[in-house]
Amino acid sequence: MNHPAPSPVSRRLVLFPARDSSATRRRKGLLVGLVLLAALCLGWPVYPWFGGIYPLILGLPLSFVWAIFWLLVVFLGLVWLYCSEGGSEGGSEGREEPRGE
Amino acid sequence: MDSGTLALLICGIYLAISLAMGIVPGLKVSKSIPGFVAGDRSMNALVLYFVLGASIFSSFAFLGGPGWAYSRGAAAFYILAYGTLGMVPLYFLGPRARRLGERFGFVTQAELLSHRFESRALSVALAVVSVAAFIPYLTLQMKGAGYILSTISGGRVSVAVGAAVPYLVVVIYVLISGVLGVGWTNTFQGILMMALAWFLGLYLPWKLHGGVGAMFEAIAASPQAAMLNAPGLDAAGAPWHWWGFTSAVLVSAVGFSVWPHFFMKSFAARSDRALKLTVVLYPSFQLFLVPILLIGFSAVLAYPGITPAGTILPHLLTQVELSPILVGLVCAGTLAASMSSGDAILHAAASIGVCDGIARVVPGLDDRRQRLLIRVGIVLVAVIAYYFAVVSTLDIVSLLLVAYGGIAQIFPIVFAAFYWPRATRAGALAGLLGGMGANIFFLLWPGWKPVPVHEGVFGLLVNIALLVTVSLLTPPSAPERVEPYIEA
Repeated sequence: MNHPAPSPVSRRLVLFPARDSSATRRRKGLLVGLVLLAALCLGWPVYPWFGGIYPLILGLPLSFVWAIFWLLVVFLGLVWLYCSEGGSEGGSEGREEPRGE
Repeated sequence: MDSGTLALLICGIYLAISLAMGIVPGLKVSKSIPGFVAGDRSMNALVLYFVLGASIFSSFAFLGGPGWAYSRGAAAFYILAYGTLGMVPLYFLGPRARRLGERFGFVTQAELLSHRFESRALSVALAVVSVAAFIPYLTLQMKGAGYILSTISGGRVSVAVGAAVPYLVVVIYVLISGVLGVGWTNTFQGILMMALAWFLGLYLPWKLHGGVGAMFEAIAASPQAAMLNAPGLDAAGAPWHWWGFTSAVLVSAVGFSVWPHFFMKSFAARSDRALKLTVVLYPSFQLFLVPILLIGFSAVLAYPGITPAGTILPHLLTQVELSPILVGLVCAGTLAASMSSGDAILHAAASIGVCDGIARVVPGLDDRRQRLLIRVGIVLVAVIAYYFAVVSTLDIVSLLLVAYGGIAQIFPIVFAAFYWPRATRAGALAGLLGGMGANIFFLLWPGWKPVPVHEGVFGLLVNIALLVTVSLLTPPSAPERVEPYIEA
């Protein structure tokens, strides 16, 4: 995947450094997508569907559980991205061995 | 010994431990600006985790969080929601900033941005905004500390003394140790407040209602049931609207990662992995809001009508039969919440004011003079905040609201610095100033809002529009300047 180098100065957004492998880009993109989904779910338009009191789950109202649920989903998403990046201490993003290529 | 004295004694022991833990690491750090401001870039994931976590969980979380749950119900879940979203950008921005900091010697956010955009004016503007945002923030922390000590002592300790003693401790360890003092004390303070929050959040519903489930069933069956439906109630007690809830979540989430004292801790990280691990583990700190909110819900039916709502936790402590040792520990935990934010803010306000403000206007300040000025700044900022906390009657909360909307305006500039090569100095300045202007305008004249959303939304729209248009209309920055940021 050839990402155009910003030469002389690109007018477009450059979301990934040139060294990022396509697998790295895909993983980062997936996480950002997940976070955007969480943003939609933690306010209008999705939250109103899950903003009621019942059912109580583990004693907590649905509206409360919904907010905690997305906290956990984003947490697991970050754990997944962090683990998939592997690398040694001090290794920087994208400098790990390219996978899936 | 009566129970109030015992509780005060425990707070005294806590303050002594904080002081010792704050001073010791300062004896090792190098006598330089990177040493004082960024801890020689040596923080490991554990310390960084508590620095970031504890500096965000301020006395607002400990006093305001239960207060929101108590008076506004589900509206309080907005705090959970924006924390979930707001930390994520730091996973991507933090390591880039850290590497650039190592390469070019940055220790603050404004240094990075003014280097990328080759603008001294941007640095000074950011310094002014930051210090203006930090002082009301610090004032609230001091008020929290004064309030808690005055309540548990039954008024024997005045609010003025209650605010002065803990912040004298903070000033001493921040003066001696700089950011490392903040690091180790926050680790200790963070553990203390997490343990207490979980204990109280489970114990109080059990004690007052027989359990968390029973508590919510009782609220759901009462006339207050409506507060549990998202988005809860507004400040006046009427149902809140989704416009308000959603826009408050978005603006707070956008601003979260670019709070200057928070962002600049990226420069203190030892490695990218340590910084990323901190971001990944951050939600465990966020989960600690769950028991905090339960504390507030436990008082809805048991103690109705307490005002202001932010005093519900100290009120519960004096009403519910608890061992005085426990009351002392809870007060120490609340002090920890106040001080662990206060120290980071104090340190950041002085460092930013000097490095990004004064040093950019007064040329030729060497490292030693800057460190001296930062120390003078620490004392000065503490005194000003103390004046507002104890003497002045100015409405500090409205000042903080202006600051909050203003901080969010930094995000588009930070984003463009790393991801949009075409962004220029003029675009960044126009965006930042235009965004702040729009934010302040709609805060002062809310009647002009076309839709009832958070004024920060309008600020961000104006900001992005100006950033993009003005950048495209002005000549691009030199590719050599931009490249390290895009490829960082």
